[in-house]
Amino acid sequence: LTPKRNHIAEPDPSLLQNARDGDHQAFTTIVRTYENLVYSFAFKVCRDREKASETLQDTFVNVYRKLDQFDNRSKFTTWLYSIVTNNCLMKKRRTKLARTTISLEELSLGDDRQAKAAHRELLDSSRQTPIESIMNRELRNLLDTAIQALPIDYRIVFVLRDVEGRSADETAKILKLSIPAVKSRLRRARIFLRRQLNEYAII
Amino acid sequence: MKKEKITCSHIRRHLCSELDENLNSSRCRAIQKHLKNCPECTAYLKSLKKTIRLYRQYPEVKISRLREDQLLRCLFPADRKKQTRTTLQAKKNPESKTTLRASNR
Repeated sequence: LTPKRNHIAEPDPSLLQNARDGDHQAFTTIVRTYENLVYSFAFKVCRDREKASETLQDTFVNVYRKLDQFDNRSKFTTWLYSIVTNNCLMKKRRTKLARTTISLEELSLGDDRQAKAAHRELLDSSRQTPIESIMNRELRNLLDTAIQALPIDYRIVFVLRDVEGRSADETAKILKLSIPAVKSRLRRARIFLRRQLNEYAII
Repeated sequence: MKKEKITCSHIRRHLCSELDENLNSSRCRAIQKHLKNCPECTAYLKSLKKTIRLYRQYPEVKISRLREDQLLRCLFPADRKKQTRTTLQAKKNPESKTTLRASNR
């Protein structure tokens, strides 16, 4: 598998300084540059557009308030990812959806009615179109259901490493974890998702 | 020294950890050798790669103009009110821009 390495440009230091000095136009430029990165990452973690929008807003409010604390020692995007991640985690805690007591091994596999219904639709649609060639709604629903069953701490690592293409080192910095901890969570997340998709007969 | 026997379970664990890492170590060479003779582990690797590929292929979502506007309004409410007033004034008096340009000459 070719490693995915997404290069994201860093903001110009003078732009950051102007935004710190209270230049609203400079901050608006920062928002417009990174809003899709924040929104799409939040969506990949929570799989819900409304929650992703709320996370987007919370994130830029935090960035605006804390921009003075950003000291250029880390990359701006690393700092930004860590703020989005914290907001995703806080949102999850607030809505009490986190099943913190359930370990990865205890999670049920493929017994979700919604997933089974989507699976039937997928099998019907796949008779007409090859799954690989088109990402239809049913397949997207199954991928959403599978990843939502993964505990959020593992989900974030999987999204950062395998979907966003961040390195193990950067992911460790974003999540304030050790590199072995990132690798261990990634391994378990991959095994879990493969098992889920295998249950749905997608792979 | 007794050579450690590589089982399918070892292989799968390692595949999950080092999927996109450098495959030049002696352990990785042993895994490559195992894969050549083990269709089950080869199929496992294939399904693992496909899992990741499917999530990468999931279409990107993008923020709408309306959402962007809401976000900027939330960040800078005063600016947006000022901007809306200017836009409204321009709509009310479409000549104002021309007048300004004429007076600058």
